[in-house]
Amino acid sequence: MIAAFAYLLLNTWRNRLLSQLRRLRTPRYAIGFVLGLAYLWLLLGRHATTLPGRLHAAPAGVPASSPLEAIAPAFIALIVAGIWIFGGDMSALAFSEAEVSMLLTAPVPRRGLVIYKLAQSQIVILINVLIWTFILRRGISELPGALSAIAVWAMFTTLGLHRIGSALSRAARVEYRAAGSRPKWAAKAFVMIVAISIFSALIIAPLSELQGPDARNPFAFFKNILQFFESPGVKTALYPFHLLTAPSFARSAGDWGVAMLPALGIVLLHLWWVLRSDAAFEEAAAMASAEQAKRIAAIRGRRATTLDPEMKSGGRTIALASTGLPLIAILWKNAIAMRRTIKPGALLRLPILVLGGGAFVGWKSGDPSRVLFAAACFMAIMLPLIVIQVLRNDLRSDMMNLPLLKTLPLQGGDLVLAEVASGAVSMLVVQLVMFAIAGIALYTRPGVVHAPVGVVIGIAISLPVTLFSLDIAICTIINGSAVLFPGWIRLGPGGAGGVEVMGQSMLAMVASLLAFTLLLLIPGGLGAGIWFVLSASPAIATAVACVFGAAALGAESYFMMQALGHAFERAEPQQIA
Amino acid sequence: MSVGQSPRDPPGNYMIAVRELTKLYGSFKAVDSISFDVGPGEVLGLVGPNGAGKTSTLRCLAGIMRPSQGTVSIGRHDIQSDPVAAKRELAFIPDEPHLFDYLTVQEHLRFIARLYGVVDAEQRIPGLLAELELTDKLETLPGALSRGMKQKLAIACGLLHNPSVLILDEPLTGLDPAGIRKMRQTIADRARAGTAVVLSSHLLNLVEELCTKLFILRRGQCVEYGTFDEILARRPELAGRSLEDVFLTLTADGAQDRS
Repeated sequence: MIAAFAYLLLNTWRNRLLSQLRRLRTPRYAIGFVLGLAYLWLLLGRHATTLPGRLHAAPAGVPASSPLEAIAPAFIALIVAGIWIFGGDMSALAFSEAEVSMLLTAPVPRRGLVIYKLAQSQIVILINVLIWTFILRRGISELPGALSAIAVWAMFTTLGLHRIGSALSRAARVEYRAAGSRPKWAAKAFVMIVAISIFSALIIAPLSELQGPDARNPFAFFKNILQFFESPGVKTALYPFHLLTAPSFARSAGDWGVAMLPALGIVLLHLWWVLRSDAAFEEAAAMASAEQAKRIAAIRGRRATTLDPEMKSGGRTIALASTGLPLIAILWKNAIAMRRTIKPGALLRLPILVLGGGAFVGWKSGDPSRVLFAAACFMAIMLPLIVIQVLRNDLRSDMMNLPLLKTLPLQGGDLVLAEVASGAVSMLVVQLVMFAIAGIALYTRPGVVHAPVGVVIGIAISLPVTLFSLDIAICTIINGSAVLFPGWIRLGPGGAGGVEVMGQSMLAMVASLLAFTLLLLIPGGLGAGIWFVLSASPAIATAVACVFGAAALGAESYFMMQALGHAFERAEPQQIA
Repeated sequence: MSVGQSPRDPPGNYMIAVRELTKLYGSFKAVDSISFDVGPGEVLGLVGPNGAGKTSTLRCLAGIMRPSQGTVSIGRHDIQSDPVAAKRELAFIPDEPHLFDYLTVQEHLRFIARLYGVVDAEQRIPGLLAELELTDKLETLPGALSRGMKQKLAIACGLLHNPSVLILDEPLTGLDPAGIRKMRQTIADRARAGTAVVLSSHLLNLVEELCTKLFILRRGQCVEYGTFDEILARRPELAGRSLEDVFLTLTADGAQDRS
């Protein structure tokens, strides 16, 4: 059995790799590959080769831990809490249609199937271990690459096992409920109350001592936060998570060896937990797989997008006239898709967290308006980047329907324009809401000097225009990657996987940002030139520079969309497979 | 059926005119220099064994794939140089229905109506839904439809704008017996109304019943093209045999291609 699974996995990945290599015969992919390699070398590899991989103890005067080291256990704790609070991710159990028909019907014991899933997840983990090892070697860790890689592997493997374990537990609960068994609510509630009480007791004391930001020294606040994470109570509460992250931040081979022992122990405990699970694995896996087939990608329990598999009817619709500009139909379709796939709770989680955190910090500092203003501005910049990654109501989803799209009577350029506009409008709405919150926070601040009406009008005109052009440019790049490299981009709804596959997403995002920076060169230069000429009147100069810069960026994006339209017209279904 | 014009001639009045169509996948020739015409009211049966190049041909006709060589005209519009005008004339119904997961049955039809500018969509949609027995599924999402219902929705989307060219790839897949009968009737009615139809199917009785002429493909090449009588006239050794026998003989390994 093990040999058969190993044969299947090895040949699957070998053939997948070969098909990716075969893509390099296409000039577009070959150029992309060379540029990608150069980018990786500039970003990561260059530093990895210059780092000597010294093994020494921390010298005197160097802080005991880096900020990342202090915060990492809390980050892992948040991920684990998310898995349990929001129901985990059943996609961890999903099989492909071929696997369902061939493996679930084969004379293979349940434990064999679990081992197969674990082995399958290892390949994705190993790719991401490679990426994270390079990232950690950029001045964060001084361990040799191999030791860093093993440390990161232990952390990701634990998280991967935890996802599978939680999914199995969830499946077991469903099975017990189906069998009429009553869950032991009283015992569970008691354990939870005790755990939350201990956790809170350890956290509340250092939290009450946390100082608000000081206008004279804003960095002092971040130092306070680091001190909070290093306080004995918080460290105790996060100790199990610290055990997982400690090997990645070890300063010497000896420290690493000591730290690896408990980390490996946690891996083995998780493995034991998953293998001993008495859940109805086959049923859960078959259920998850069926839903996966329906949704093309795996179901993502509680994620921000993806149609609810239980959803049978559409509910309220949006009116659409049968005559008029045909490309409006694409915008309409994507608006309906967003309405049906979006889970407002999941999307609002981050802004609520940041704005709530901002309000708390503001209350501590005695200046809530200023902190809320800063938090809203931060979210106006960050949230669209997250929204565009999560929503995917554009060609990243629609390329899966390429045969259908290509029979529609639309020019490729018009189709790309409509798909780009769909994403950009969503981003703009989010940004305007955040800037409105920032504006209200600023205007309600006691003693604030109100800007002249002319300046307010200038901002009201130039801000949406500038934001929309920036959003259009970002969406053009993102849609462009789906059209130009459909074999490399994850198409369909957002991917499953959790933090252990975050490395790939991060690299893709940084590559998009680099392309975006290149796209900004000409509009930025034009805007700067206009501002310089009109700088005698800064408000007017800023507004005019923004509008002209936005127009230049819009023109660049338009030409890119037309070029992408031609590429779309040449795209063929077998490139997607 | 009129075959007075050879497919080597210019497109003329044909709704579909294919000239020297070749489709390559890398070095593999899936379709090898085929030519045919379909006039208004004609139904061309595109038949051949698995891997013969039928779906590649149909996808080139529908504008999904670009021909490596040759031309395809739909309603006298070249599918490559004037794709939008050509696609307005046609409907492609694939064997595997491609639908948007998040649009209901009714919304699919409204979406198509807008794209094709169907002015009388409000009047046409109820009739079409009734014809395809989808009236009670108006607000249903594709995920909750059976395979056959999805196929019916894809057919409804294809027929809504009253296409003058209908390209069907195994259109009966997944349909129940009543659906099959209705679909046969629909194809026949459309052809009688002047629609040019290309039908690819392995159901030879369906091909025999509906098609006015045949195009038999083997390994991407034309084995025979014409009416059944014309084919038999060229192959007297096959006289008196059923279409199934003719098909099996012509597509067997070692059978001679039509020069």
